[in-house]
Amino acid sequence: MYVENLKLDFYEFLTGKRILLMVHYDIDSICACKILQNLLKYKEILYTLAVIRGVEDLKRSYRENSNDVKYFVLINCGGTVNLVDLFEPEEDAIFFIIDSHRPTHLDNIYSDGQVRLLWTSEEDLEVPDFHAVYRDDSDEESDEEPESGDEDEGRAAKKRRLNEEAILKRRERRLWEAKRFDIIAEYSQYTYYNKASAIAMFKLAWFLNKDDKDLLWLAIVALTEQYILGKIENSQYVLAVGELQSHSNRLRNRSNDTDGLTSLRITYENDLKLVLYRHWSVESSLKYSMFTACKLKLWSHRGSKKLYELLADMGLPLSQSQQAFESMDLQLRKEFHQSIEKLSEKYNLEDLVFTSFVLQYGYRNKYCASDIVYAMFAILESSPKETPEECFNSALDCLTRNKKDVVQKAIERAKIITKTIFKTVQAAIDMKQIITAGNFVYYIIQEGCLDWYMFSNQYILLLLAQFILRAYVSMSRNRKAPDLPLIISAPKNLDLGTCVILGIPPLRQNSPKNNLGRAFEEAAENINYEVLSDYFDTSYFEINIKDRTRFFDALTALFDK
Amino acid sequence: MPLQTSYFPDYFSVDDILATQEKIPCKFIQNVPKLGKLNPATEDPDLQSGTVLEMPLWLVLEASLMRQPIVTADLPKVYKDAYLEILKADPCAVDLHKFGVYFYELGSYMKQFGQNDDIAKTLLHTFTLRFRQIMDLSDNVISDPNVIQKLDALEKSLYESGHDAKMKLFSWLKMSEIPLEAATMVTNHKKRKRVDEDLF
Amino acid sequence: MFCEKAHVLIKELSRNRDALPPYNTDLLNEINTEVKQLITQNQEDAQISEDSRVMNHASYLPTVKIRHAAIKRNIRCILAYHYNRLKCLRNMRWQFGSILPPDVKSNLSQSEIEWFSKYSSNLVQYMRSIGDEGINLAVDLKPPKSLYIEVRCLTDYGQFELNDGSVLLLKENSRHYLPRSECEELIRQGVLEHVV
Repeated sequence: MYVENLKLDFYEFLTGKRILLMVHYDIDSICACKILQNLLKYKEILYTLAVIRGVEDLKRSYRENSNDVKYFVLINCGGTVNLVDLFEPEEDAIFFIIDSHRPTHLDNIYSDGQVRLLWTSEEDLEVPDFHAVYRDDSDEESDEEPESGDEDEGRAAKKRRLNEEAILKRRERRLWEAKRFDIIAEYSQYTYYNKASAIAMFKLAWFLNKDDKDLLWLAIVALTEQYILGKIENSQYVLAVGELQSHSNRLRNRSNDTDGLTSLRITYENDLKLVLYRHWSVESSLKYSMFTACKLKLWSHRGSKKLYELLADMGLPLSQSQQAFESMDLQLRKEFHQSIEKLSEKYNLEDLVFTSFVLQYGYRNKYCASDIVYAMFAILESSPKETPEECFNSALDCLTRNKKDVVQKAIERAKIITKTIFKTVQAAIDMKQIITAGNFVYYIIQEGCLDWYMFSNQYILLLLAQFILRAYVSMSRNRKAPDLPLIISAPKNLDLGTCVILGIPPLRQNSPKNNLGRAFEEAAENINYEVLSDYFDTSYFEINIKDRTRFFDALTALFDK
Repeated sequence: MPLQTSYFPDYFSVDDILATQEKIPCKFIQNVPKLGKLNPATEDPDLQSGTVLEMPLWLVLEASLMRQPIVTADLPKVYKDAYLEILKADPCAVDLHKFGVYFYELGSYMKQFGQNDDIAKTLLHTFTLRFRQIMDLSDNVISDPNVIQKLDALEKSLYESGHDAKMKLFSWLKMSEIPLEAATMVTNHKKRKRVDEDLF
Repeated sequence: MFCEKAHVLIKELSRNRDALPPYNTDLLNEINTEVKQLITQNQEDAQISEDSRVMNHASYLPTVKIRHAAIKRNIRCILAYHYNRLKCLRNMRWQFGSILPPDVKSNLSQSEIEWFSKYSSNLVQYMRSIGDEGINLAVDLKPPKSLYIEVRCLTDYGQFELNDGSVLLLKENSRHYLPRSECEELIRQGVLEHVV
């Protein structure tokens, strides 16, 4: 069921009630959660916050709290699973879901009030009609009951006729079920993402007239995360940026902060697809960023020569390009954007520029939205020791303005991650570990690999996968290369001997809609494999390492069809 | 809510007890029978008049400030003229911790054993000049352990409370909301527990 | 040398300024013995001095005086030891609340435990006597900005009942938004952490 009026049926409905916030472990969720927390404060709504990593977490945290809490708000989790089946909740429990995962489970959409979705029906694409998937079975059953007749002579005939009717009905029912199966299969064929939940939350804040620049920044960070991970299409991103830009203009004018230099400012600016270059050196950033690395093939010797050529063309002395961007000559720093943009055509670096936002407060603090996103990846996914809850807490700290040291530390870690990803890609290419298996490409991160734990995490693995696929396509002589999806596998838990498998769509598809999850499921079905997968995003899959070869064989067979 | 220990002349003060435990040189001017064991250098059961020994201050105080003194106290070398001259020259350059952990406390006892009021004056002079330095130190957010080590106990406690106050002011200026905190004893207790757990 | 053990006792105290090391019964007993010994010796020597005054024998007076100083010193150390421990214990009542952690409690002597519970009940009685309904002096030490605060749970505390009767589960690392008045004590006890 969709909630029509968020203010009345969600925000004000929750006033005075205790709720459990179930927040998925990703950047968009954290941002959305922070905005929501801010809104809840105005109404003094008491809440408990639980961090959700997967379906198991969702079940556990429901179990732990279901005795005390009746109202649940799920952020970026639960929309794609049948909640009523999963929880078997009491009658009076109510679930509010704000989830950017798609497709939404049909039972959630057509729930009669227990599950309430906080978005509009337009945001779910190609939802099958209610009657195409649900059917009232009760009247059929009564039909099948034999009618009692008085006339003896008519009974036999009647029975025959009834039998015929029943057979017809059953046949019709079978047809309907087959059709239903097809409809659902088509509906759930692709996994993809809707616009960031944080944006939806920000809109709610705006609607309640409780929006401010801090909240807007959270929405921006969430959107940028979706862009960097390629969760949404470019056109969606551009539209959303435009929308947020108008909000930023509106809020700037409304500000009553008179000191223009020290107050919080959000400006709409062009950013480059260079990782953290403002906090790094130009050379490192150019070298390790996916975009430039793939265009200039920087993992090879020729590539690095080309990099120096580019720097020379820009008129950037080597010594300057190797020192921290902040310490470069002011003139060079100011002209950096222009000079690289001018050369983008020559070096085939079109699309280097994208529009984004910059946050500025005080005299010394200036962060691009992408800086914060990379910093948060580093916090959430690079520590082998800290528990998810601890990481979640530091990620929340990373978004508050008075914890600058957290951000700074995370940025340093993010650089290490970026380097590690680049080096892994380089090694994969040098050792020819990216393997073509007919109609798909795969790459396996071995257990012995240093830093494997980084890649056992969802989003760093995704960054690596995209990097590898692009690098592969740019290197491959195979004309079909852009049409091949990539499947990547990394160890997940060494003790349990499990690994995570992720599939990303082919480059030429140019859309983040992902149907590999379906392929994984089918392959697993074909080899009668019991699925361990705990992810909400079905393009991730989890199996035992010892079954991986069997599973890949099944996949190959499936793709060859 | 810290319940501070007042220092002087508190009978129960730990600092005073420790300060009066410092040994100072003194000369016995009466025979003290049976207490020869106080002098480890001889086997003699009695302590002869004229023996020079280092005795804890509490004993010297008791034995010298009476009608018929048993001992006369001498000054420890750091309160003698040579050292006082150093302090007069530039008190801030001195490692006072090496002079004595309880330099001022001990000094204020010593002043009654000196010939003139030179000790009292020098103590005051030293403290006044060094106090500024301590103020400066406690204003810094990051403390340099090397400098702190050169402070005597009184100075260190001044520094610590000054630094503490400064940090509190900082956090108050920075935050709009004052966070509620765990009681200091509770935090220390937890830390200690963690250390214990690490050991076993 | 006199009073060495007493010095050890005081040093032990000075090393643990805001914590209580185990009550040192053994050392206290030893000091006790030393003091008793000194007293007996002094009595004997004073007797001899008294008897021999006419005979103009070497006087034991300085010996007695020095021993007496040692007795006084020992007593001062013992008293300071107890006094400072009590002070620390009083602080603990304000910081830990009326229930001490078991490992702290096991370091106390029997009479210290009794003193603590008496102090605790006196305090409660006093706080109850203020105003009509009494005031808990251990809370609201800082001016509140809002009635509700966000807290993070630092330990697996278990079920916690709010004043309105609803129950919530305090699990390590969980976050909650709760009435300030209800979490202040748990924050002081280090169960929750205030998130600003």
